[in-house]
Amino acid sequence: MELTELLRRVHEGDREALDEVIPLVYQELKKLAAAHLQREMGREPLQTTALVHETFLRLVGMQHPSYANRSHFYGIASRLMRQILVDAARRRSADKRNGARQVALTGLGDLGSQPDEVLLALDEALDRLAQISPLKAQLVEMRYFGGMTAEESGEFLTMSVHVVRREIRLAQAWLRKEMAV
Amino acid sequence: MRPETEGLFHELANRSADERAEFFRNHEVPADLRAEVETLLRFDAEGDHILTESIATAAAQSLNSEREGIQCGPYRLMRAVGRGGMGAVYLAERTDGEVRQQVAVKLLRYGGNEAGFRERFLRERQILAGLNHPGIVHLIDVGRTSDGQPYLAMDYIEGVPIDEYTRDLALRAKLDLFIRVCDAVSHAHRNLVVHRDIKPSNILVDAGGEPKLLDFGIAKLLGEESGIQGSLTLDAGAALTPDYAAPEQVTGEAVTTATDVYALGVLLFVLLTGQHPAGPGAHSRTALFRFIVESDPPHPSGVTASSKLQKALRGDLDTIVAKALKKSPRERYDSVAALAEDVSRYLKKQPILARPDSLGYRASKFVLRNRAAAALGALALIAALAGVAGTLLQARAAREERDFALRQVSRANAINDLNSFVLSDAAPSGKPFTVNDLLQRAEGIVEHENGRYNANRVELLISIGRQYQTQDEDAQARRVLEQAYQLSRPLAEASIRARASCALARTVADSGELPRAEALIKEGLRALPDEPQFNFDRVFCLTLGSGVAYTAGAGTQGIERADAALRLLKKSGFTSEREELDALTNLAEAYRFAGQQREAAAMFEQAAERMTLLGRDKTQAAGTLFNNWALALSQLGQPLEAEKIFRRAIDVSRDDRGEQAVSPMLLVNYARTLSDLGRQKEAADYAERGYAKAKQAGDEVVVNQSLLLRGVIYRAQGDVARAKEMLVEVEPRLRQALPPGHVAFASLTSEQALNARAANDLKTALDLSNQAVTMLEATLKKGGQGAEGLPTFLLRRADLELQLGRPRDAANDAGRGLRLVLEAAPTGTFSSRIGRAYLVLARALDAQGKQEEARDAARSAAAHFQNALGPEQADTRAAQQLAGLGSQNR
Repeated sequence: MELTELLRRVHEGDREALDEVIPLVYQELKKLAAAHLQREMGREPLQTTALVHETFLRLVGMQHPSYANRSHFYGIASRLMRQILVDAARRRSADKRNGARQVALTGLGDLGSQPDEVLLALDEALDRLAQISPLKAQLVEMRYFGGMTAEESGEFLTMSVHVVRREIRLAQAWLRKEMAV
Repeated sequence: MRPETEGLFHELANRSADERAEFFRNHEVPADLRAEVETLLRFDAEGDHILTESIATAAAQSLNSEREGIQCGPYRLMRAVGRGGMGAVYLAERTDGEVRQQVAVKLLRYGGNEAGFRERFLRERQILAGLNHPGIVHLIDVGRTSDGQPYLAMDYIEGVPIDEYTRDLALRAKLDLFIRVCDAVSHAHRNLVVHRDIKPSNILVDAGGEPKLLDFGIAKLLGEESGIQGSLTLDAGAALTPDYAAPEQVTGEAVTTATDVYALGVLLFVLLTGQHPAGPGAHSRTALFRFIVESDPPHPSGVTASSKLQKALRGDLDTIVAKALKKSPRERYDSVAALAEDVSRYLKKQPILARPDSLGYRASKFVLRNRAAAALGALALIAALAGVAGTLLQARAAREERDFALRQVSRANAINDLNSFVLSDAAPSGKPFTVNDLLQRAEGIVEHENGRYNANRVELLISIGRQYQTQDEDAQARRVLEQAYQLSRPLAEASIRARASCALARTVADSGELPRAEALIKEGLRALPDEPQFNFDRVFCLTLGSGVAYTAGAGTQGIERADAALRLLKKSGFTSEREELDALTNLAEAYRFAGQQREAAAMFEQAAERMTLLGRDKTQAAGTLFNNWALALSQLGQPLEAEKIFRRAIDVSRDDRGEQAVSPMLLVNYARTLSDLGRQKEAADYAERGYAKAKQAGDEVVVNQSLLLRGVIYRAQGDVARAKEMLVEVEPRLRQALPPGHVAFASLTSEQALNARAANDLKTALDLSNQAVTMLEATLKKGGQGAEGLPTFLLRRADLELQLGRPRDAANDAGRGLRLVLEAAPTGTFSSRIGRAYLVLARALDAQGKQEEARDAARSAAAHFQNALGPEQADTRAAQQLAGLGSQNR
């Protein structure tokens, strides 16, 4: 079935469609990421947003998707992206704790903590945020992991852009506060 | 989070600290709620780039790990250990039954040219594997995976990149380390291997403090066939970061050992100062290319904050770095060994062999035009001679003003995308590429990739068009932006339609088609719905619209638009300090263009304070700001203040070798102010230097300005013959460049009149003076610019009439001139122009025997001069004398 069709159904609440879509997207993301890496190696770190956008272009292909569908795609992809990244970070973290040392062959130094730790902390903080306000957590996820703009998020969640921006802003402040401890 | 917390947060988020305090005074808020909200507000102010960077990095690492377990020849990848300069690096084990050896395996991009790659491998492998030096990481093997992906196997080194390692090291230790790096590179050179990609991430320092260099010659191994050596693009076309690239690498010329010398020069700079020669912070590729090819790097001593370090670096180390960083390979150190030798001599406190550049203008084959600071406010000297504010000598000068309008809030995505697209495609083999080539390629890519997604395509075309504008490629810019505009018409997104209209408007205005430009701006603004999410687009259009307005001479509208843009930015709450500063500067420029010098000066001052707060007050942009501010002050008739600010502009734009990096226009502007202050000798010096530089650079506008100014100065010094020479030289140049009836010719005539008077040929002087007035009145009647010159000409004529014993005519002219000057000036300003007008009038009245009135006028004159020029000036004293002692006829 066409992805756009699937996405439309997902939007209408079709759980089966969602189940079908997720592995599709996941596979495509990984394939794309690998190809992306080969092309992009040696440059700045991968931009997740670029990745998600490209996946969308690939999957949707020749059609001219309506704006609504694109947002739906990104909405799902953001969640998946978060899952993928957090899982991987957790594995690496576990490795480290088991004694396998990392060698700094990159010039990433200035991030303060290691990126994995930051990411895991963010993940936990997001979970806590979701307890308080599921909407805010989802908005943050879509922005950080999916690279969605306020317009796109608003479209996906049927909210005004103004409210989206406000909510994200507050959520960011809250997250930073949580992670600063 | 309670609803009250949220509500209060949003209520206060966009308010200033004062306003918040006010709010709490006027409202009853429970202490715990207040504390909670204040905490959140505090965290609101921080940025979130750390989070996004972490995510991106984590993404990269995750994807790297996908490859774990893969077999590369006899090696199996165990674990990703990071990302090197050219690809992911893995810890690997040898598994072919031989000694279990731990190596590092680096996966590289796919080679494009199968046959060529194989041949090169075979050829180079021997050489590279044969490099044996403690400072060079030994290359064990190269090969291909079963997927065909090339890999390198090398010794596994645990270490820290050299820039990190040396961060807290003492100077001496840093230099020692650097020398050892040079030794390793020298060794390779002796074996005819050029590294081509020396940078910190390729130099690891191990636990024993020994530097180890990675990836020798790999760039060549993977580079194109015979054609380009050491091109910045590799087979698959993805580019290396150009941070350490030498000019010849950027322009596609031959790469030699001197290329490594350059990279080591950059490395040394970074080790010594902690920043890149192009300045702190990140740089876009295009900006870097421009810097590498065009700009002279600063001295390390000029860039450090600590004065102790400054002292240590100034002198020999500055010279060493400068020599390594010469644009022309021939001028650098002959060899890396020579570079190391000089550093070693420095450490031993022996004299080094490199010679510092001599003062004086160095001809360079690279154009020194600094486009980024191109908007240097072309104050026509002619205009200033006649007291005309803001007249533009030639169309080109107008274009230089537009840079301010080009600084605008841009969609980060579009620009980033552009940069990645541009450099992700393969360079055609054998051909060097320039920035323009890249832009053209970008167009092609946009055409190809984004054919279906018109919104993105338009955005990218807009970015490309604006980049052409900053490259002075107006024809290209126009073409691309017209295309963007056409494509945008049928799109639904208002934001894109508006941006396309407004971006096109600017380039159309530059071609002089002002009505169309204005129509486009209006169209753009109309297209935007009146909702907050379109604020940034509106700011974009307003900023560009401001420039269009004042180019068309509609000064007030220019101000209104710039002001609206600034207020909108402030209101939107998502903006950055930098954007606000740009908008503020733009507004100041609009005021200056509209002739409202006092407001302009006030805004410039604000902008300068902001720049200082942001730590940007030593940048080129700051230099431009100071220049324009000083111009506004000088047009206000406040040369004392102007001189100080010009000084700052010069300080900011020069480097320690002298005024070499300072633009000729700035030198001439400064000279004029010095002349206004009566410091003729210094003025002559600067004016001559400005002239010489302008001639060298082929800057016709400034050559003319400097000639006229020198005429004024020499005359003031009593050298009338030389003053006349200047006018003789400049007249044909003006005739060639300007249409007849331009205010410039009236000014020229007026200058000739002054020369005649200085030579005591009063009759000729009066004739010429009459001509000047007539010419200007005719120009003004036809709607030409230059009205501010009229009072000056009248006052000069008044002077002559006095000398010729016609006090009544003198008083008429002086009175008329004074009235004009007072009308034009904002009330309450002290201005030397007004002072002069009063003084001439005072003299005329005095000659008519009207003592009281004369003294009054003289007192006013004295007051203005005192404040605008200082108490010691000749004019000040003359006015005071006249005011105090009255006429000698008593």
